[in-house]
Amino acid sequence: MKPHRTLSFALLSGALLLTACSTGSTPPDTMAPKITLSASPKALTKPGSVKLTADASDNVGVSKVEFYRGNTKIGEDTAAPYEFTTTLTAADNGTVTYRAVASDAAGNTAEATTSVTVNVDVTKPTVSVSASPTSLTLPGTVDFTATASDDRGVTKVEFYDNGKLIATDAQAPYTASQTYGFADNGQHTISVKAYDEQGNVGEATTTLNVAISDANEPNDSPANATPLVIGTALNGTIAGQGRDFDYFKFDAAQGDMLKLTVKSVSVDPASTLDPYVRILMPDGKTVLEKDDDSGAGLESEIRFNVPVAGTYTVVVTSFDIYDDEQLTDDRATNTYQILLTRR
Amino acid sequence: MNKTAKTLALLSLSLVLGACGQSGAPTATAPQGALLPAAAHANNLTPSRWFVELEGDPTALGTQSIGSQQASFRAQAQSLGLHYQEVRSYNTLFNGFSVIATGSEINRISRMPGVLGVYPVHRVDLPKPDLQAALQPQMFYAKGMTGADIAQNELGLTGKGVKVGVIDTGIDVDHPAFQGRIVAGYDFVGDDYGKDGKYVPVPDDNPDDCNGHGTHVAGIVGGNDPATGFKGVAPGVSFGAYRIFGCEGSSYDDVILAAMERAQKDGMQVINMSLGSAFENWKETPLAKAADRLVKKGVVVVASGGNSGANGQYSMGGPTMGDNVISVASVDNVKVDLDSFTLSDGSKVGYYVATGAPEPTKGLTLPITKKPGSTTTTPNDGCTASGGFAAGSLTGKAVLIRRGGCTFYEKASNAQKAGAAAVILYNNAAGYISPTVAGDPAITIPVVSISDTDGAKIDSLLGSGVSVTFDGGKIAVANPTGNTISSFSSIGMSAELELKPDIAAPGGNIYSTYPLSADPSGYAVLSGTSMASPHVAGAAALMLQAYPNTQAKDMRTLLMNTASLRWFYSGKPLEGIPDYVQRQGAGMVDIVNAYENTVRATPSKLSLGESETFATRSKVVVLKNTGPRREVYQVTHFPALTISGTTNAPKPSTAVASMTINGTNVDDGSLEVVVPPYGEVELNVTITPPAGAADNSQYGGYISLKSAIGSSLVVPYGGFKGDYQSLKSFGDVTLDGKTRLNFPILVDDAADDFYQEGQTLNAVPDYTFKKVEVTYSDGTKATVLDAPYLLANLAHQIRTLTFELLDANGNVVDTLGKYNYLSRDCTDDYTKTSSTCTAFEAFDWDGKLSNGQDAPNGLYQLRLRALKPLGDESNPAHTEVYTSQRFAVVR
Repeated sequence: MKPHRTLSFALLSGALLLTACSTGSTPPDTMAPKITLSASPKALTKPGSVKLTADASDNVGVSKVEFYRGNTKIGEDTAAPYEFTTTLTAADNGTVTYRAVASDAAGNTAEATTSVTVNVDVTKPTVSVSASPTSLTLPGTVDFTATASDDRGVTKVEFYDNGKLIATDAQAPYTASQTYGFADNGQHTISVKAYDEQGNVGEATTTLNVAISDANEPNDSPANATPLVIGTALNGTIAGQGRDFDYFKFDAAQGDMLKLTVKSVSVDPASTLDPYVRILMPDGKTVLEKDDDSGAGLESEIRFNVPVAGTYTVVVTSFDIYDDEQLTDDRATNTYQILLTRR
Repeated sequence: MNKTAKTLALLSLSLVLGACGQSGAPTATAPQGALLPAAAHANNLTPSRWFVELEGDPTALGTQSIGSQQASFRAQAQSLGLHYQEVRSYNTLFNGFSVIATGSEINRISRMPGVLGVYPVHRVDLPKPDLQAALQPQMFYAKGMTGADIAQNELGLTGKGVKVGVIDTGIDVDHPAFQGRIVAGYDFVGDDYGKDGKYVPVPDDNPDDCNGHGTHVAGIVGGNDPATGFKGVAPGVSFGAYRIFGCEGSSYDDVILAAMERAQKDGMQVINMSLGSAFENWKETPLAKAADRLVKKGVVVVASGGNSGANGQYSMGGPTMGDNVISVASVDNVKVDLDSFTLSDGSKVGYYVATGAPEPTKGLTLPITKKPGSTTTTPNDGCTASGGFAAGSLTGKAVLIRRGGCTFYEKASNAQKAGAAAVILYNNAAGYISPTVAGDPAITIPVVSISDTDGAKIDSLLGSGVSVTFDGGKIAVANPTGNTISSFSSIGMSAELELKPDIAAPGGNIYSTYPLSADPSGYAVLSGTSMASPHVAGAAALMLQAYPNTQAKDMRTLLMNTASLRWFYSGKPLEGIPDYVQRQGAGMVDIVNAYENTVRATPSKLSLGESETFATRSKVVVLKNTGPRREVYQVTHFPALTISGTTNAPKPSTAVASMTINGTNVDDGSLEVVVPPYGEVELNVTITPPAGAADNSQYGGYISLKSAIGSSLVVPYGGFKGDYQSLKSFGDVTLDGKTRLNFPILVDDAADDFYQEGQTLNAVPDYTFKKVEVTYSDGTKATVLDAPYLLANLAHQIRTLTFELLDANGNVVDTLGKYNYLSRDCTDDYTKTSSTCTAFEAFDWDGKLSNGQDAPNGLYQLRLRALKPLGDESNPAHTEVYTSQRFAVVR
């Protein structure tokens, strides 16, 4: 800053000379004011105002104090206390030097400088997001985990599913979870926004594929069996897990004459399912009827007469799963249509 | 391996005609100091063959990852100090090994982490039918029984264009009956497979038959010998010959599975499997499952039901148990082939040579006489009590003696003492008998037996003098048991109460092709369900030629629907009383009716389960007409005999179920049912189990649909009376044929002692786990491990058997072994056992825990827990438990 200071001094000298030439009767006031300048705060880490306070005095009187940032005048004050408040932002990061010039009526001036250190956070948090599982073939909950870091600290992470905010977490580990069902089928863009205190935002996305082929799921146990309505066909899939057993239930009266069909390729030519079907008595254990291939091809058909009134359970799976405790059969193409009718 | 007590590896042996009846001895407290016969000891130092299956689906895992998994198993086994010999490793059929190890070592292997399970490698014995001398080709009566002759001659069906795979001992490739028709084949084993107990497969491309069984089977399916005129059921078929037996011995599951896969790849449309493992009546066994899957792939699989009928109920086993497999029972041929002699009036008389006496010399001519005053009603002809024969009265003569009053030996011995040159025994009941005159002193003169009618005829000729000439002749005589179910034919149902067998066909005394190397005539007569199965396989080939669009899974229905019932045989066929459904299925195959019938009844059989669950069972049978003719049936209930008695000794009972169809009682009356052209009609059936039948009996019968103009139909049903899980898992055993002991027993070889279930001991037995030399009661010496083991008679099939080590307070210390889908033992009488008929199984413990460490000294017990077939694990009544006495481990 030395060259600056030298230049200022040269100008001041010129002014002195002019003043000296213009006075007449009274002895000229040749004493310059005294001035010190302080800034508060001296350092800024976030945007804010800085108050400059000049302490100026003069043997005659201070007429004004002008405040400069560099050579740019930013304000003046004509009455003590000589103050000026300015605002600093991240754009001012670095050292900002202020100067105050006090003048008296005679045009004597004095100046003082001070500086403010500005260091406002401009770094975005770093963030990544993962979904577990990354795809869903059965209804279920997906856990999302964001890993976020920031040089000053992460204040919160927001989770969005296809742009809709689903959760905010302010504490690491940053997690959210969401349950998906058949209605949610499709590609989901999961995005996260990680914030720091300055509102810097780091963003990341991942995708979740929801492809639940069976609208009846979850129906993996007697407790959540899908109700069968006589005459209404339901579509299902033996898939989504290695060994899928789909449960259905229906109420029947003694003597009801019914027919249960589980069709695969005759409904969906691309179906890969060889269905295996059991009808359980109201005790939920005893097998009333079972069938592998009594329908067309490898399809199942059971005609039966209900022995006692009650709620019956139907278990549908694939032949491979039924036949071998070790085998899995998890193909999205294992589609079937189940239909209970009166005969 | 001549020990009868075996580790589980040898549980299932198959298809043997040996009779192991029930002793009927009363249960009694064992005399103190009863000893285990030397041969009955478990040889816990003798290893046997096992599959070890590792976790991970081989179809999903890469070869490399399987390789590393197997390597880590080996390393771990080594670190646990396990001793076993690796035979083969697998990475396609399943992920694992076959190993040779002792029972206790394999129990420890089964508990290693990463091991999914251990399974005995099943040996499947070569069926050993009764070989009889060859006769003339026109003696092939069985073809007439099934309608195969009409199919060939009137319907023009030969099976041409249909490929039939025969998985067996191969086919004699030089036999004129098969020239140019063996279009595919493979020898998976080589001649010496199984020789001297060594099973080292030496495969090649030539499935030639050095045994005879497979050639005989193939001849029945469709032999066609232009030189002799011999024709099988479907003489136009092409053959695939898959040889899985050596010239002698047995075969193993793994080889048979490979043959099944290959037959399917070769495009076989029908596969015949005349093999099986008796008492292994689970559809979950590897062969039954594989057979079932072949059907899903479009192959008709026909398999023999087994030859263990003499061993009672639940005696079937093998691929025949597959849900979709056609399981075949045996019917006796209408004619039997006997040796004959010629009377001086020129007539021929058929005879059996008595066991224990020499055969008559060819050309021998003797005058015939009898005891003065004897008639065709004398109750004790020739018996010592009746005075025997006057000394010297029979010199140089053949003597005619009527059966009855004393043993055959006594009669023959008295005749011999009186100077007779030969004995002709005649029956006091209808039919023929095959007597034994073994005794001491031995009978040195020929003894033959003839029928009652022939005996009466000779008796009537004696007055004017008659002589006999043993001229080496042969005669075909009407078989008294003809057209009835063969006594050897195994009895169902399955362990899970599925109705099996499905259908019957001629299998007793069947004439067919035989390797030229074994019999220059190229023909032989054999008996067994092995011979019944190819009749049905041939029938299926004819149907496929006639109706090429028949799906494999529907073939059974097509054949069963039109089968005809066999009558129960008790001295004679009891007309109108069907034999057990569990022994004949739908009855004997009728090819002509199967061809002509257009109405399908489905399901083709009704498995009703236990009556405890379903007091009255409701079922729906659909009649579907695929033809243009309106069909009218008189529908009635035709009950079969109920199987009462015990598992080992069944008895017929006439307590039968009752039935309604579409609300009408059809026990006495009938219901008219009309099936319109191309239409369908439902039969709503209710069946109430027989109130009068004893608990634990198997009942059954038929829905009979009589047509006045078309084919009549049957739909068999079968069920279990009572609580199925009340059948005992562990049975008592007699070691001497008289005294029943409370098995299971805890055995102490070092002390040459054993402890029956529930027996109170004065002192705690101790075991050192050191090898000791013992001398058994009969003087034989053996080196054994002084280790505790159990011998248990498996009285019925067991779903899951758990073998556990308990501390003195009954807390489980370790699980020593777990076994699934077990066969039952063949007999409960040790004196009736053989290499293929077991009375008990051994459960060894080598003193080690799962972690390979020795169990510390202290008091322990061994426990067996049997989950019963169709049992519910959560129901304690469905698990039978045996706990041994406390014993001490003292090292």
